[in-house]
Amino acid sequence: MNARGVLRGRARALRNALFGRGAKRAALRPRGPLYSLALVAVAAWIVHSGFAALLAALARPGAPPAVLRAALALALDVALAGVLLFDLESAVSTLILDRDLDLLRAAPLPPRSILAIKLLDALPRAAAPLVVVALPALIAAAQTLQAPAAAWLAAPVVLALLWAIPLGAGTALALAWLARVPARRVRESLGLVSTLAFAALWLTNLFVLPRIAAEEGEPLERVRALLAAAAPALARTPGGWAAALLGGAPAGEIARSAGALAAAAAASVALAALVASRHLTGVLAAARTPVARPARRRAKRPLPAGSDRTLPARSLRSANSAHPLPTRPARRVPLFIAVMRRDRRLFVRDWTVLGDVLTAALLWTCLPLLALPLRPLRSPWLVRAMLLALAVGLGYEIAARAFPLERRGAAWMRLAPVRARSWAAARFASAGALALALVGVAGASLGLAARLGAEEWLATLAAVIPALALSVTLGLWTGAAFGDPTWTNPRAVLTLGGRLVAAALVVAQMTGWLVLTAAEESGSGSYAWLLPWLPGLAAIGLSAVAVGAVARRINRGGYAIP
Amino acid sequence: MESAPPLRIESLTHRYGDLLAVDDLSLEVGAGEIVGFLGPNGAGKTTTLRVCAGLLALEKGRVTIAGADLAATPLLARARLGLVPDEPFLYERLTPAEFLEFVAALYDVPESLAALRSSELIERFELVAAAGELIETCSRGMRQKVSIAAALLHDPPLALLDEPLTGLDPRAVRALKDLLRERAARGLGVLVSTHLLEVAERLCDRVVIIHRGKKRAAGTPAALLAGRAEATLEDVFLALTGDAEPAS
Repeated sequence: MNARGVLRGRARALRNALFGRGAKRAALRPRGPLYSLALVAVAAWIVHSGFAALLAALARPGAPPAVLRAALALALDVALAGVLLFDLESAVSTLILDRDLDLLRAAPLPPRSILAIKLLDALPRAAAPLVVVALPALIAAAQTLQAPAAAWLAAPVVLALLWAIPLGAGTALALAWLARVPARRVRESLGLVSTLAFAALWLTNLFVLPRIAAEEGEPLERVRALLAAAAPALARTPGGWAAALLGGAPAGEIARSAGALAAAAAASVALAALVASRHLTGVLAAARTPVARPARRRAKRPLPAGSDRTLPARSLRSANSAHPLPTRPARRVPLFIAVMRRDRRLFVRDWTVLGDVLTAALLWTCLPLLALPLRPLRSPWLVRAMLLALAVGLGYEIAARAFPLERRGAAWMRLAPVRARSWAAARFASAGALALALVGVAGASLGLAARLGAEEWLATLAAVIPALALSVTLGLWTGAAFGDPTWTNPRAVLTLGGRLVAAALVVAQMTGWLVLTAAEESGSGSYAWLLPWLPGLAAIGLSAVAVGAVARRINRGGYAIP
Repeated sequence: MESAPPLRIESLTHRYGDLLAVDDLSLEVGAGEIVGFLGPNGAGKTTTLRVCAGLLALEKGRVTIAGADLAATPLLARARLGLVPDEPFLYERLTPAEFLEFVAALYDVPESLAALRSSELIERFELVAAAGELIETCSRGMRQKVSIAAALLHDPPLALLDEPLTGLDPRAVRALKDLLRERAARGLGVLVSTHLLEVAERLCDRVVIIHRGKKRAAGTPAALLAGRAEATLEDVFLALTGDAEPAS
């Protein structure tokens, strides 16, 4: 294999993806990748600032450096877990489902070379946690600890080794697993693992962090004590090894950590190469074999009354008349019914997406429980907060997926004789119906559990329904503006930039609704009479703007079709 | 409306940045006519079809679909055409029958008529066995058949087909040719882009050859051959498009 040629080709592909190449490509080039890069830079800057502030606070005179190293180790380990749980799926999809794999397989290349090329391709797709978390944390730690020049120079190598450990081991495990399960299911299975891991992390945070925060004593001291207690364990993790290299550990520990980090990375990559040499060819072949999957029901409809299925006669009749008359009154299917039917089928048949939505619905509902250990809440307030969190979350979980879920089918928005506003309204109805059903189930369960009275019910609905309407329209806009029709990970149907924008919108909405609810609860001030009406008015106004933006995007063909 | 041809393109120009993809192109597809749209790779065929179908913006020129001006009445124009794209626009997790049901709703075809036409097209293209399977499990040829069926389901006055024979087996090719001829016999128009010159010669009433976005020749295959030294349409095509390939 001509490694230099391969590297040059990949570098060109990356450059062309970012900046376009040739007149036609440049004219069609979406600006998404550059926006995503800008947003990644902003997110990395925020993490850097926050981590630097934490380290500065922790580094009071007399504080042991091991505490700072433990903080850095924790951040690096979190980034590694992020790669393993959330980006491994992208890496494995790159490895076994990319379009150029048939070309590579046909070339005289051994599986190990194919693995090397595809791991290289996976790098930009599986490096977000390192770029957004690990790199800013490393820089902040090196600044705080006034690391020597050698540490700065070693940082890129350390990052590469850190990246290789989860990706190599994860790829080896995934390939070994894929050799035993149907390969076409890999995307869905890894997506499900990612969703479950996300749920586990969320629930852990939900029940652990508030309790830590509610304990007696100064918060920073408690963090310091926790880090000091965890430091020995963290020192034996990849993050701990990297932290020792960059965090001014004693010379002996630096040598041991460097050896451990290099050995772990080498072992991980060697394991992936070994498994690839045994299983990659078989896995690739299996991945290209279609899996027969029957539909839920055959959609063959009965022909109109009085007709038969002798098609030659029917065909002749059709050939002689452009518009054969049906034998029963012409009934047309309204657009929003057709879209809802289609979306229901697409959602229900993509069980990873469906499972992801249901899991996320549960997690969003539980989110306000975070506050329980910190302050006592009245039941109606808690129910309202839980339903508001669910309503806001569903905008991202359901509505933002509406456009990307269509993939190439989205072209029908431009082809069919349907107004862009009608499309936007139909998408709103379809996503809103599914979200409303989930909110309805959650609302009924919580309301019964909390024994809400009729008046409290109405007040809750008056706040939650507008929040749901707004979150669905904002979700639709996010999907239309940042949807990735080539998505493989159900948690990443938006581009990276889109996910950051969606997260910011979720936080903004949640804050707004909670502030409004609290203001309504206090019920004072000269504009108190307006507060009950404000959610509805705000939702109508902002939703109209968002639906208009979606329609404009459809109208000018702004949604990318692969 | 009655006398308007299924397709009239006047002075169509389309650019991708600095690249001139279609240059002042004019052509017409008459009622009951099958017109072959020929040209080497990068000649501007797909761009022309995509502009006519509304997938790309109409920047300069005029396109009229069965009397409906694409710029002034885009919805009416879209309702009057069916497009078979070079790569099908399908929903992987619908069955062909469900997909056709959805497309029928988009084009406001009454349910009973949609069921009738779907059944007809499904049987005609031998999709009966696959009609209840998800599209993601279908072969390339099956997908192409579903795409063709979707484009013709609302029986539009104009059918635009971009390399429609890709992936089709000989029986499906025959079925498609018969269907297009039947449509032409009913006075409907067909513009078919293809690289298969023999197919164009046998199927099409007229051919239009474009190269680097400009029309190089138009007429019946016999008229194009008349008075020329070349013996076949292929020879004519090669002579007209013989200079170097564009860099796109």
